[in-house]
Amino acid sequence: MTTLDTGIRVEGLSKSFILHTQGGARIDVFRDLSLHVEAGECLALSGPSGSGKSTLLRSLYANYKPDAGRILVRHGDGVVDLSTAAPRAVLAVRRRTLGYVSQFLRVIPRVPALEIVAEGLGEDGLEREEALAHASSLLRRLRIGPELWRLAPKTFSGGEQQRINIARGFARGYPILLLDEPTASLDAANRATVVELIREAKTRGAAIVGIFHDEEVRDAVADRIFTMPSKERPQ
Amino acid sequence: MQCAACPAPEHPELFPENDPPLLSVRGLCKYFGSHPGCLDVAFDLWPGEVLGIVGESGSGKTTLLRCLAGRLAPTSGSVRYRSEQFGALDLLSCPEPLLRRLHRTEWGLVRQNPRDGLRLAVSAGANIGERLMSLGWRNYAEIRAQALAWLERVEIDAARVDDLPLTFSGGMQQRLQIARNLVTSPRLMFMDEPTGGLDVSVQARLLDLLRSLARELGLAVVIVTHDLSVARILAHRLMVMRRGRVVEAGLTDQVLDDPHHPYTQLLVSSILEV
Ligand SMILES: Nc1ncnc2c1ncn2[C@@H]1O[C@H](COP(=O)(O)OP(=O)(O)OP(=O)(O)O)[C@@H](O)[C@H]1O
Ligand SMILES: Nc1ncnc2c1ncn2[C@@H]1O[C@H](COP(=O)(O)OP(=O)(O)OP(=O)(O)O)[C@@H](O)[C@H]1O
Ligand SMILES: [Mg+2]
Ligand SMILES: [Mg+2]
Repeated sequence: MTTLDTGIRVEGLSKSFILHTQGGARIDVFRDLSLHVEAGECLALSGPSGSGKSTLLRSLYANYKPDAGRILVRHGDGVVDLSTAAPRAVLAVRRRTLGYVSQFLRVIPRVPALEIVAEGLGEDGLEREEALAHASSLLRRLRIGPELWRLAPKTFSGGEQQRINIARGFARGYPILLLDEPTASLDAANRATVVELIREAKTRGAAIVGIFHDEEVRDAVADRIFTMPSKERPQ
Repeated sequence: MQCAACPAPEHPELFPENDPPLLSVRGLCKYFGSHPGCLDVAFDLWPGEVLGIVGESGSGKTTLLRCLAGRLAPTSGSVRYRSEQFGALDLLSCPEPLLRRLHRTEWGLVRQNPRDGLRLAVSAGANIGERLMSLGWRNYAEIRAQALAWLERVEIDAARVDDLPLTFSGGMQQRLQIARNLVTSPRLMFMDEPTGGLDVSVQARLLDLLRSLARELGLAVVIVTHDLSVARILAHRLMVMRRGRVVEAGLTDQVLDDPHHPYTQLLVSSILEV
């Protein structure tokens, strides 16, 4: 029987892209890659630009479809292989188990900032009032003032949008969190807040995989570093 | 999706694919003479799920939708629907009166051209009230109150309730058609380009409404759209059609961000950002 004590385990993962619109060019991003992250642990992905860090993270979220390998996550009292799970199963895992903070916020027109952060908190058992209170307190910690809460983030600055994104990711008690450069467009004070949020998430037992270009942030949160294997040169 | 050696999960809400689907389609083909409309389409749809259908003009999207809704007889294949009132039904052998009944109660169909989906000779209010009356509503004040409430939800000025649909703009006709369908709280909506001709802010409001109906009331939707950003916001899953066939299908963000089929890559790369 397959058991999974860790939050997430990746076995033999390979990912390539075939660009049909560009003469069928093939990009082999990584091959036969394995890693695991324990509950309460933060693994930092490192490697030069283009080495496939974001591609790996997106594959873990099932946003990219790997060519081969398994992505096992604990979900409720079962284990799901996200590389083969049906779309509905992936969505269920994302709803309950797997959070992802992307580099940029994808805004849904007309949905206010506070609603974006509070959405889905019902999954964690919060009543509407509690959800709004929790979302507000996170926004406050990330220095988003109440005057912005009722507005849709379309008009927000890049850093403000990113903080909405972070608040949304950290509002929920996801057992697994994927972070793609969460501090990229933030000032020092907000970077420090994000470091705090990551540490709090680890303390409550979240397994975290992150990409942190900022070395100070990485040193402050990462327990281990995973270096992307360098690409084999074609003969 | 369970790995082979794992025990069966105990919490169905965590593993939703164990519930029976609302709509189950297999091997669906429609020929017009020898000309293929849609070919070998198969999928399952669950309550609360939004399935997007995208693809080039003439690829068979409308044909597929009309076959699913029992408005066009497929050449072969099966469409099974789990009805609240009548249990499991095979739509291809379903008697016409039963289909009509489903259309007034459990289903909605939003046509690509709103004039095909409206009754042009009666007022906006009567268009909305029609389904209610066919379900036995007789109290005029109640029907009118519902009509006014639905006009507001689709952002049509209540003062227009007595006007004929032909006096409305194309976008307003489209919203009226949607209101007319939603008034009886269907479980399954078939929508053909429902946001075509709508300006961006009205479109956003409509997407919001559909999202919340799916999430809160479990409305299932099959929506045809050429607008990939609409598909991104609304659809959980996407099917990409070309020349009658589904060439790629899956999780919406996966299909749009990591398209595999050459045609899907072309479709995604020909727009700036979705
Ligand atoms: N959707 C995609 N389609 C095609 N190629 C892609 C796609 N996403 C990533 N790639 C390619 O995969 C390779 C790895 O890119 P990726 O974004 O994962 O790098 P990265 O390590 O995150 O780099 P950076 O540090 O600059 O963010 C690049 O060659 C990139 O062009
Ligand atoms: N009643 C009909 N008789 C004959 N051929 C038809 C009929 N309806 C559709 N077709 C043909 O079937 C094919 C699919 O048409 P369909 O209307 O389903 O395309 P579509 O994907 O909805 O296109 P669009 O995006 O332009 O609305 C087309 O080649 C069309 O000409
Ligand atoms: Mg990257
Ligand atoms: Mg059509």
